[in-house]
Amino acid sequence: MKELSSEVKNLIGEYLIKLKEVLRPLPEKEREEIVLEIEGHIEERLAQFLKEGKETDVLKDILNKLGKPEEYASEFVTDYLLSKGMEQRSVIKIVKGLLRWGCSTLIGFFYAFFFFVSYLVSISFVFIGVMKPIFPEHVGLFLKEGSLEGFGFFTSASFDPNTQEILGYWVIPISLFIGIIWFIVTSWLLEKAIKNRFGFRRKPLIH
Amino acid sequence: MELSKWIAQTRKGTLELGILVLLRNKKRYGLEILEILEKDSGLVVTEGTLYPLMNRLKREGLVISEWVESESGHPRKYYALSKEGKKLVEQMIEYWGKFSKTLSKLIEEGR
Repeated sequence: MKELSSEVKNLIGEYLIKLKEVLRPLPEKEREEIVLEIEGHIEERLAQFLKEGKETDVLKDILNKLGKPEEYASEFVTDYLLSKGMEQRSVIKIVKGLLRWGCSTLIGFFYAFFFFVSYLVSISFVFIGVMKPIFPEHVGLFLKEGSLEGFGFFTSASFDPNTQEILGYWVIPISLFIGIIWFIVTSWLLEKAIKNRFGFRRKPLIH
Repeated sequence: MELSKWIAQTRKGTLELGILVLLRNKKRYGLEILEILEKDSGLVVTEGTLYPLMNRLKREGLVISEWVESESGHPRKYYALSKEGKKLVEQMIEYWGKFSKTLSKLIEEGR
């Protein structure tokens, strides 16, 4: 193979260093393999197309087709975080993976948004149950002149003489129950969504 | 539905099959797969899509990989079907045969 100019070597080096950097969430061995594979790809493509044009132009074209290192790495990192996160039951990895997924595609954005809101709802129910014994006057299902005023934690509810709380301490088991069920259903849906991303998998995620 | 959108969806759905079929009897490396798909088929794929997809197929346990020294001076990462992948690709091919036959029949009858 023809010796490459130092300008081309530098451009390749820069791309690969940047790529390795943005693959940081992955284990060292996987990062090295991804970089090595793409290095081989760039070198072979260069050798193929070298007669067709100026070396640097050919290289820029090859790198353009790969996309920026951040773009190229994105799928690898999202896949890693989601599959490892599921395997290890790691909340941090799953959240990170979801955020990346949300930034890369529309469907990912929809999932990330949906699950964020849904977990927030489940936590709110648990919060209501926990707050009842601490602020009994402010938490509950409130009615005002027969119609629903609100359910939850209110700073001013007890100060309106027409407002009535009707559940009493039943609020605790009810809201804890709803919160926990909501949490379980959300987690179940999340697991399905992630499995769906890895289309063909039938067995539990093993690597 | 726009034609381009439909084509994109169809391609996406069949790309995995195309790749797995290529690996049916032979191990191949990324650039080799890319060149075949670019040249002989309508399954247009870019390098920015192919390599992450190979990585995912590996993560899903359908393909395995190994590094082989080559005359190009740089080792190549070769992909082959795993046991599970082999089983799946046969099922996919069988399904594809039935599917395309039915569809062709529908098109014929609709003339």
